[in-house]
Amino acid sequence: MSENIEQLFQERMARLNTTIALGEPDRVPICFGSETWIASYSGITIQEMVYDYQKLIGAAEKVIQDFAWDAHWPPLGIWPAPVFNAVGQTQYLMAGSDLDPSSTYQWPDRSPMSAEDYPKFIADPMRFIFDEMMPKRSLELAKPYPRNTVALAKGGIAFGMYLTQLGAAFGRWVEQYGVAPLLGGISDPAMDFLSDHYRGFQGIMMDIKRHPDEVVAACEAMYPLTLRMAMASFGGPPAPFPLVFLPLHVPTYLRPVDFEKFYWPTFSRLINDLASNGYKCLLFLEGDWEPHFPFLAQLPKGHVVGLMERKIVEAKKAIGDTICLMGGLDVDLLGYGTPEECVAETKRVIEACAPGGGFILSGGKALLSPNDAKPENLMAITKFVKESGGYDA
Amino acid sequence: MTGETAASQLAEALAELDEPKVLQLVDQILSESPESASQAIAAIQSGMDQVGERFQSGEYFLAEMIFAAEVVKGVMPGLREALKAGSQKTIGKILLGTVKGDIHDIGKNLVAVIMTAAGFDVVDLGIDVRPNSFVEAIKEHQPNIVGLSGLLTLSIDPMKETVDAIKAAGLQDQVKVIIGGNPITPQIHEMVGADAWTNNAAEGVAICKKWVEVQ
Repeated sequence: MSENIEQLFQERMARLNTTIALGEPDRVPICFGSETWIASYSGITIQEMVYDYQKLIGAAEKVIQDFAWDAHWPPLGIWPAPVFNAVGQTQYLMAGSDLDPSSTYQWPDRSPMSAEDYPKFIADPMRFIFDEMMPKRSLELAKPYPRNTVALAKGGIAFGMYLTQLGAAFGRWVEQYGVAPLLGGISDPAMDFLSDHYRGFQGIMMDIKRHPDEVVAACEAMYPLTLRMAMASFGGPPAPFPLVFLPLHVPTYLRPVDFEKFYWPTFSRLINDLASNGYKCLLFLEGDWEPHFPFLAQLPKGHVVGLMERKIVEAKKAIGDTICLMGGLDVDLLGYGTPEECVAETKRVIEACAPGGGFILSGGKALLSPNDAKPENLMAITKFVKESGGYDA
Repeated sequence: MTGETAASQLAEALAELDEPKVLQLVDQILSESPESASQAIAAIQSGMDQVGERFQSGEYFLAEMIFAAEVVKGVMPGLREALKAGSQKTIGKILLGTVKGDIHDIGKNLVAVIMTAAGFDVVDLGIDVRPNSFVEAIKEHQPNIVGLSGLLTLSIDPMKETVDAIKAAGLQDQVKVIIGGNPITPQIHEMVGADAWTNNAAEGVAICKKWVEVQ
């Protein structure tokens, strides 16, 4: 690493770490969740990226070069198709094979687990997942030995190739551009895990009314696996950066009383256990979280970043001294507004959210489709933040 | 118990999300006199209205709306069958679909159930519906209202394409178009050019009811 790049890297890390710890950095950090949007930006399809990892790396690198944000957003939503093809997955729709080549992957609501399966799940979730869910979710794993084992091995090898190529690129980007990934490691709080992968959204919404005790018990049974998944996917020794990514899905559909009963016990334990082991998390807070702010206010101070889809100004007042807030710009403005409108809104959001620190400027959603952001809008916002986002200005 | 008392209890039980009681009352009403199915359907409409009101006021969340809709979905076929085919009055016809490129349907399905409970004849075109398919379906079914649904931001441009296709086919005076889903904001609504927007199913039903009352 050259001296200038080393200095740039140290500046960015100090800016981010200070901000996440709820302090005031030199200026407001900026980083957009540039997920599958990077394909259209660099003139390729999403289908090309999910099969050819060098194209994926090239697209991500172009965004790093052109925008030079304080961290890069790793492609967590750009799933390596060969891994899914090897095991014959049935749960997701992928660009090119099921959807338009330029469509982000989509996730139909499916329930491979039925409500009658709860006792088996609760008794031994790992066994239930391996014996019953994996063969249902991935058809190659339902085939007789040795085809199932070969399929699993092929999937493992394909995933290893993906991680090796991406890992090498991430290392090179630190050396070459002085930029680190914002996220490392991923998990799902227990109730979301149950909903996302096994019972489906519609299923879990019924279960909290028809089988409430079993949902509570299933979340408890699932909990150790969610903690292990977060730590295993992070890799290496615990560190406060990058952040463990926790996308949250069902909370805002639950009344606070139900959130407290079903979601909060294993969710708050996950965050506290990660914090006491030396990790920090980024929560993707989709939807309207205002009714649940009193819960977020109880999370460990300075250990959590909340990516707010909505109501970041209200969040600043209610929970801004507990969690670092990220977001502020709606994708409809980024995609359909003018650069002048975007800069005016950026100014307004910074005035409301930056004072006292603990604020990272970003979009309120990940950027998936071409119309989620015009490049010239992101460019104007980035320029404005770098020139005028200073705390001593 | 008279049919009327059972019907008013049915509305209350649905509003309170008491599924066993709803099922028991529906069975009771149908076994006492199949002709009172129309009263039961009216009670379900009233119960669902109350669920919608509690959702609007913030007492219920989406989980409660989805649960109530599922309960209604379970009992409606039996009630419909008890009524003589064709004798049921509807307040209007609505065509629903998730637009091209988007395969999400939880929101659309919820809207379909509560529109049905509110008395609409619902034609559901499913997911990933192309603009031209909406146009053809309007010509075939002659609805009062067309509802376009989408969850992802990639549904915004196809919503506009669909509205433009309806206008290009000269059908915009025949139907009202309402768009709904997570990515819709007032700005997006203006850009798409539909007659109304919402991302709240209960509010959507209220808008559609108002439209057919005026007609």
